[in-house]
Amino acid sequence: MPKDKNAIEQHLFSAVGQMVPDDMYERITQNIVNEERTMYMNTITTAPKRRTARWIGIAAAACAACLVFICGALGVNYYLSNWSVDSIVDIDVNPGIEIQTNRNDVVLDVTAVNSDAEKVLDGMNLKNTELKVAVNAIIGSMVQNGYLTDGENSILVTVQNDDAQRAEYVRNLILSDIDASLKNNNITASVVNQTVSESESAAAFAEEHNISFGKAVFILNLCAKDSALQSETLAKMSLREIAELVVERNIDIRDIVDYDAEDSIWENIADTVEELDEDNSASQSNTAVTAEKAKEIALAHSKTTVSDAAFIRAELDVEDGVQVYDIAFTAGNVKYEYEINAETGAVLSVEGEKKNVTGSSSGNRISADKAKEVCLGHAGVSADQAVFEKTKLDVDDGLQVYEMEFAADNAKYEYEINALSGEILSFSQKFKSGTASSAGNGNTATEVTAAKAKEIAIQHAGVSSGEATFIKVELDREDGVQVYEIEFCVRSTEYEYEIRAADGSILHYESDYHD
Amino acid sequence: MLIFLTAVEGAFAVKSTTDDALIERIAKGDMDAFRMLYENVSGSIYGFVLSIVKNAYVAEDVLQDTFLTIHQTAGSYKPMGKPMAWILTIARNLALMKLREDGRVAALDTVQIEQEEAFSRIQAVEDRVLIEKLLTALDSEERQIVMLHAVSGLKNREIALLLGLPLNTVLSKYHRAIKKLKALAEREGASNAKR
Repeated sequence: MPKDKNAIEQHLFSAVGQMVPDDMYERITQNIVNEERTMYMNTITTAPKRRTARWIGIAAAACAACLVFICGALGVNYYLSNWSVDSIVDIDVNPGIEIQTNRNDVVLDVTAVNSDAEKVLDGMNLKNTELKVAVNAIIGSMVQNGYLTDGENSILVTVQNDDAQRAEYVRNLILSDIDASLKNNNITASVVNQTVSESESAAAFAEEHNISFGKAVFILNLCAKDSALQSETLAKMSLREIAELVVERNIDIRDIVDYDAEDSIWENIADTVEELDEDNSASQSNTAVTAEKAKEIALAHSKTTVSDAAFIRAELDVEDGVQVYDIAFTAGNVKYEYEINAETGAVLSVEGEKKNVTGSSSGNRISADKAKEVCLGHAGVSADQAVFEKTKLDVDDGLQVYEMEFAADNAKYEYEINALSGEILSFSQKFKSGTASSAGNGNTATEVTAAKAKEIAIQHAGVSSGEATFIKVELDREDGVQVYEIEFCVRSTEYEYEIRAADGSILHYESDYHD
Repeated sequence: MLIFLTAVEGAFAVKSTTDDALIERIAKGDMDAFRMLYENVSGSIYGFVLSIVKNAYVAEDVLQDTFLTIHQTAGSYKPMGKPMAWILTIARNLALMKLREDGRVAALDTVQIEQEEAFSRIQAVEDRVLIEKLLTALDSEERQIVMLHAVSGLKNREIALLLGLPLNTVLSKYHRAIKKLKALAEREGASNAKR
């Protein structure tokens, strides 16, 4: 097996090279030759489409709002100008239609995004027509199908293009086309246009201003409706302040929030922002404890160093309505399975099983008391705290085994001990209150000592105490929680730990390697 | 996306496996050049993408999309002697897009079984062990950092820029991840030897 990092990297390089399927190049070139346009949709517009759909979800709430999205492709070589997509235009009426045009503003393809749009597009073949003709046909069909009425209509035009000049040009073109088409149909509509320079603008805006995704979407939508508003200014305001502004300026937000007439403007905004945020984070772990953090907790609890552990899984699960990390790893020849509360980081249960047991079949059997001692020692429970519920000598696969069960301080323990060697074959610990503490700490009120905290940190870092030079060991209070702040150096690496004094769990750690 | 790209490009000095001239030829529709680029960097892109998406099939999709995007946007590439940075940025953006699109950010914590076919193409046991360990035992940033070291020839500073991480983080994560991989691979080697 590899000796150094260069060898490791060489193996990885070699591995990934072999993993690429043999026909990959053919698959790519086939796409270039046959499906140039489809490709554009796949590569450039997929993510914007998702975002678009979400925005439209809001917009579609009230009147027949019409969203027009114009996405420019990343930039296209001149020789491709006739065949490749230059702009992608989404005309959305509860959602919508996607038009792809080339540099000469000729329609390459028109796609219906939903069933409403299918109705609008029914029987029309708009390929190879001028954008103007296509827009006219689509607007006409929207009128016919009742999506644009002679009442009040508002059309939101959003232009997405990385080439600002080109975006401006296409936007003006589509605005005048829509205008002409509306006049033809005797429809009046207020056309609001919005320039979004990037598909991920809302996410980027959220990050830039350190606000939630939902708030970013709402602010950007709001600014698109009222050009006097500055998104930067709004980003600094609370939702309540924004709601006051909406009332003050009499902005109609019914098409950008999921409007409920019984609620106040502020409630409507807050609900929408919350929904957007939930939607945005639905696929991501929305828990206080990350999977990585849960892994660390499990390692610290099992007194395993990162380098010794091989993780099998770390999955977020829900048990009895509680979000729980299900974590499994092997260390040495023991397989550990942990359940960790995803909100609090508390260890709920742990099971351990020794693999490849080759127990000695000779020698003297240990006494039941000795077996109890082994269990208690491993569990870190003192004999006077433990109430033994089961002590049984059994034969399992030809092996003499003590099966032990005991309870102590809100926890239930089960052990299987090799009756000849005294070796722990398997164990299970279940903590009722979720206040599981590191082993040896039966009483939850007992705090971890500074020495113990140092030991936890060193163990977690995978170094020996002889190697470490401590810079700081301090008991501090953070957000009402007593925390040890520990800093130490091992050669050129500096470690920082925060360890909860109540149970020894690692709240935070950092290590810096200096070359 | 492009703003980020420019920022990254500006600071890169890559010992890249391709050059500006090749991209320029691709921009002019030279399919030999495209093929050459594919031969040079497909494994690297695949590896980097795999380290992000952690799924062989998804990585294939993203690899395909990356080359299609390169083909389409080669004309907009501004020659700065750093095509690998440009290519890896495209790949990374597409991979992240894919993750968001599939809502797989959380679900991908364990390696998908469907990867097995791709793994079976790897002939040497050591290669296979290491890629499996990389995918199962390292966190996402560690995976990307180690993989970029292995396949791209980027320096730590450049990796930090590409991934948007502080240099210190890249250094410590790299160091730690390599240590972890080494230990795991050695253990695997030992248990193989016993068999």
